Amino acid sequence: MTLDESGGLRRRCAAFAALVAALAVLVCTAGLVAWPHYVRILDGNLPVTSVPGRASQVGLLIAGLALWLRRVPTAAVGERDVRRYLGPLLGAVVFLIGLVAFMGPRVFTAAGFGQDTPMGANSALVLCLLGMALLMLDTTTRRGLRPAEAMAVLMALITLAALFGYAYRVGELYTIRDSYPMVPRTAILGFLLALAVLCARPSAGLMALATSTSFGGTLLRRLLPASMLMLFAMGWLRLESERRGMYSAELGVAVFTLANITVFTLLVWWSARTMQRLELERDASEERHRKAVALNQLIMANSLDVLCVVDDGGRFIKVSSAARKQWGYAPAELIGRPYADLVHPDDQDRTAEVASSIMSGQPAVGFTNRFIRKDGGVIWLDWSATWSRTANLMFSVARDATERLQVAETLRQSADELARSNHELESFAYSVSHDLRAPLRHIDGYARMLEEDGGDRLDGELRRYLDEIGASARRMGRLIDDLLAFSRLSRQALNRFKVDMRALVDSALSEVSASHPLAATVAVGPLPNVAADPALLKQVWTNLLTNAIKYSGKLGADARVEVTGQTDGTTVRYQVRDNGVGFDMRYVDKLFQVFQRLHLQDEFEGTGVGLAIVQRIVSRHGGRVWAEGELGRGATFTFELPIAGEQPEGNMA
Amino acid sequence: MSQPRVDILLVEDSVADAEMTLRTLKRQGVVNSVEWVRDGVEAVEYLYREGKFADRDPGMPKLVLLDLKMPRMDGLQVLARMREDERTKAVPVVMMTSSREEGDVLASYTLGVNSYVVKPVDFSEFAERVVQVGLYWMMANQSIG
Repeated sequence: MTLDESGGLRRRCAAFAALVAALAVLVCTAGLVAWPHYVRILDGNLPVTSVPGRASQVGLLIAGLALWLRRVPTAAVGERDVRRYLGPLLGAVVFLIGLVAFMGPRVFTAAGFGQDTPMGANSALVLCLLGMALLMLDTTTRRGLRPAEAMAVLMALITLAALFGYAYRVGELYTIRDSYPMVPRTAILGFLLALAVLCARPSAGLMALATSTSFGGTLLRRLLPASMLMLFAMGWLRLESERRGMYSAELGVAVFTLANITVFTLLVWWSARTMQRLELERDASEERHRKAVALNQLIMANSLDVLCVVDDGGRFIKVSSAARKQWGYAPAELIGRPYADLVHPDDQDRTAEVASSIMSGQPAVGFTNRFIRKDGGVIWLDWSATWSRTANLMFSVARDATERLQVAETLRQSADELARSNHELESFAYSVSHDLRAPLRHIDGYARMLEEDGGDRLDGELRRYLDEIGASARRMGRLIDDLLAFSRLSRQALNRFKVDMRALVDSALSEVSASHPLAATVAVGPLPNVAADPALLKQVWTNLLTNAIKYSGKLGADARVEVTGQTDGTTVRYQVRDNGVGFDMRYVDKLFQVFQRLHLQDEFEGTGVGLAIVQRIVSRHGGRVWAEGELGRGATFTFELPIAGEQPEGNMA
Repeated sequence: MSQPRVDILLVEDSVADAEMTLRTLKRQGVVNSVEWVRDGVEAVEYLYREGKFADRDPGMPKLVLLDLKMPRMDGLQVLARMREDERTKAVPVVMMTSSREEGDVLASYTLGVNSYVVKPVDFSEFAERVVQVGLYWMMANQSIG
């Protein structure tokens, strides 16, 4: 419950003032048009046979116009707006009319109102007060008093007295001495206009309290009208009853007093109850507020990140305790300073740009800039910030990013270093492999030449030794070739195309069968196509098919090799299954490692690089490969490739 | 000193490789005469009759078998020199090397090599390739002059 919420009430007050102004203009215009053919419609059957004077009607009409013109405070009216001058001018005219009438019938007649009904002194006074009030509607004394209000209250008293006079049938109340009486219509309009003058400036002076939603305002609004109405009604009842002789004056006083006590007790009790309810509500809300403040303080004191509130001028309003550790400043040192003072010169423009986008309603998360610490050191900060439109403030959180950035930098450096040393290792391996090939060729060459030239002088066993020398050299040559092929895989870029998988498998199969005696029956099922590097993928098929045919070769015509494929969501999966010697699942981990073999060289030839190549190619495509097998029952190799071929290339292990 | 015209100039720093190549070429009867030099510098001297080859018979070999990696001056430098010179521009050159490195292959073809042959480890394959190269360039190919 804050004073701000009284806006609705104040708007209604201003509307009431405007309505009364319009009513005064309408009623008086109608009265003037009807005058002097006075019609009773407007006044009804009242005890006074007199009609309202033309002068008072003109006065009230002008007052209505003045109030209408002044319904907007002067400060809100343009410098050159006529309303600025016309409103007070009309107020002055009303005052003059009242003044002339107040000076007595002689002056009144001399002023040109000769044929008119004379105006009563009370009506003249009301017009004077009304005119002055309208003239000084926006005037406030140095001590904060508003003369217009005092005049309005006086007016209300005079007109109310006249109305009471009519209601209680006491002539003295509406007729001052022997002057002309204030007619009821003038009294009602005067009273309404007095209220309207008060209501026209609902947030100034006395009215500020009457329209506020504070306890005082509430009490005032409840008690004042209620007690006024009660007193009026009971006074009237007492008077009327006495006049009709229903009871004596003494009894009347007693009944009146008792009724008063009863009614006021009820009123006070009712008000007290309301006050209590409001106070309980306020206590509850204060308690909530106190807890919120305590929580707020706890957060501000304990947050490891710096929490800060910045106003629309970019100045710190609140800074949490973490600033001491993070920025080197005590929070109190920063309050009122622009945050830009702390921003690193190179980050000023960037920061201002982000700040203005935050203020336009785009919360910033993950913005990073540099602050200069009090000790002159530079600190990197990660920011998260939101602009509150209702509070017109920016709430932001700063996290020390120095460590994060250092870690990232270290990671980047070591990744660079790793890439460099990888590259060096590869080129070293490559050139060593080349240099190793030459002596191998010579070993094989000389062994062969010895065999060619001196073969007839060597017996069988010695010739076998020579063969063994040559075979070993050749096998080492193949090892080197495979190793080179394997190392080249990580340097080669992937060239992805839509691959006709069936055609690729057929071509790999024909190459495999050219170099291996093909005993097995190979069945190739339908295979889904996929985007991949065709040359590399063919290597995968060649290696898997070579293995399947090699390891099922001993079965002769009973050897079966099955190639199948299917699409599974976002991946394609291919399988090569054979019914050959299989392998022990305990060693499945070794299967895809370089130079790891599960069989003896003289059992099955091979270098132990083929499956390592398969795995490297598949993982470079973002896929995976695995194997299942059982000794003597065959093996199944499965590889999966993603259908969306745009995945980043996996880094080679 | 009228020597028979040289059919092949073998540029090879490895004695063993040279011996194996020479033996194969001679045994198979591909060529009559092969001149063997040990590196790029000697190859250039031979081709342009400089240094110790200043007095040699003026004819150009029908084929140059060029090793890639050699001391002093390597095969690519010899090839570049040959292709710049009018006298050797048209002489067929076959690179015989252990290197499969793409960069080497690309550089050789860019410089205008006629063939690029990788020496296999297996001696019988090696011999077969040498013979194929020799036969092709000596017999099958129509050379200039």
